Amino acid sequence: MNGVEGFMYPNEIELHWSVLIVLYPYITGLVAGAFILASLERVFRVEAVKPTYRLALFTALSFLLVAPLPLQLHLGHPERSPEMYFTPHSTSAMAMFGYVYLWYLMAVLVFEIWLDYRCDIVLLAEQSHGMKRLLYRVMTLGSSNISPRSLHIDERVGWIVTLVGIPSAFMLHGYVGFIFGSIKANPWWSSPLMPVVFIFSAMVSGIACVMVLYMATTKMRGRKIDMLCVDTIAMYLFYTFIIDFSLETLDLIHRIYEADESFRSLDFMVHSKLYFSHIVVQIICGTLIPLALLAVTQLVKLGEVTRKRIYATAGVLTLIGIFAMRWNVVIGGQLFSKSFLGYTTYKMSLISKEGLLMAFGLTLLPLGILWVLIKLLPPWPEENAQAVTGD
Amino acid sequence: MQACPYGCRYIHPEKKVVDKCTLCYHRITKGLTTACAENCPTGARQLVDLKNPNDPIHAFLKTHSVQILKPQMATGAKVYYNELDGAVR
Repeated sequence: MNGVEGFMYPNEIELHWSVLIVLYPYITGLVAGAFILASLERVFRVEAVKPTYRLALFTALSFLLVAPLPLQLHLGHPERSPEMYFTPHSTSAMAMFGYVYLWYLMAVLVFEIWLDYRCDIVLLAEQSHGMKRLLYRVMTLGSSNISPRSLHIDERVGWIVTLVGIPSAFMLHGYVGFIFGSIKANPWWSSPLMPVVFIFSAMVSGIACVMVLYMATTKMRGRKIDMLCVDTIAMYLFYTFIIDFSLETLDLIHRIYEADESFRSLDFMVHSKLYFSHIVVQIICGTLIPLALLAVTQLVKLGEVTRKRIYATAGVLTLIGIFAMRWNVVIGGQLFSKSFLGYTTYKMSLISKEGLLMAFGLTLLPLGILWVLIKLLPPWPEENAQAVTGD
Repeated sequence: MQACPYGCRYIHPEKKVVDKCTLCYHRITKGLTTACAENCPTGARQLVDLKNPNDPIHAFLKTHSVQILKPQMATGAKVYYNELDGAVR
């Protein structure tokens, strides 16, 4: 059969989890990572990253709203998905995750954004007219008290929400890693390190995403990039990346040293079908090069323009690398037979429910949502200062 | 489907939902054997009652070299193979 080598079980020839299921952990990872970056300012008081605080929260929200769409498209019958909430199934990790998702969306992200913006929304409602005024009024949820005491309460509650949000963000992406890591039938996935690797790679991708978005949006608005801010983000990106890379290397060394029954089959796969996406894109272009670039910025004093270029390049490469990592996990895990005697090929369609164009659309959709959110509630600190003082 | 170590689960071609062998539930509840056992020309496939202590299968399991597939997966498989070749997995 075309694209099939050796012996495959009949149901393994065609891949069941397509590029959309690659997108799902990628998008969820960006959500968790962006939130962790936002929490740096809120909980850990890293003032330097303040310019990205609201942008990071919006990035997390935009991507979180899109996160379930690949799954809906893959499964079909979206009208059945609310069943998950009405018929709880406590022994199914997938079923229980529905609650984690809802909790994270409503109790953490939306609530935190609302608390942070409440004062701005009240002021915007006062300043605007017509439909916009009505919209902002609805968004205040009837809470228009912006006395210093009330804002202080907002601040305290927001801090608590962020504090609760950090373990929630870990759970959000830890779950995705768990789903793969707990499948004992698949040796490419089955590893207790998987959730930890997923969490750290999520932080890496989320931080890189917000850094690139901040630089791009600031440039588009014709404003000056806050170098202290991007320098700090790049530093955090570098250190998180080192932890992530160490964990992935540990996983690799462990597999090579243990060399269990699946090893020969998986090793062959990495050197053949997965060579380009795993060795070239993920490890070389998506990990070693950005790590080296970031290391240079930490070790050598460079000019502002050079630093900006390096950060932008490293950020984009990191995002590609983490996507390749998700690809290699999801697609790679289905390319070999569970008999360890054969290999299949993934044939991606272009125009279909789970094709390439749909994947592109789903990648761009969060950026569209982000644009609407930014238009509705500008996340730029300098403009907010103007709004609050009424300039 | 991803979690089945044997590649046994499949998408039902008409209903488009995940399915697996039911051991011909509709037949065995009527006292019949499974369709695959019924159609096996050499009698290599046998449906037996493991819960019945008087079933001759228990004597067979004791006196023959019987294996299951992927015992390391601890799936509690009830499909036994007599003198299974090591190459089958």
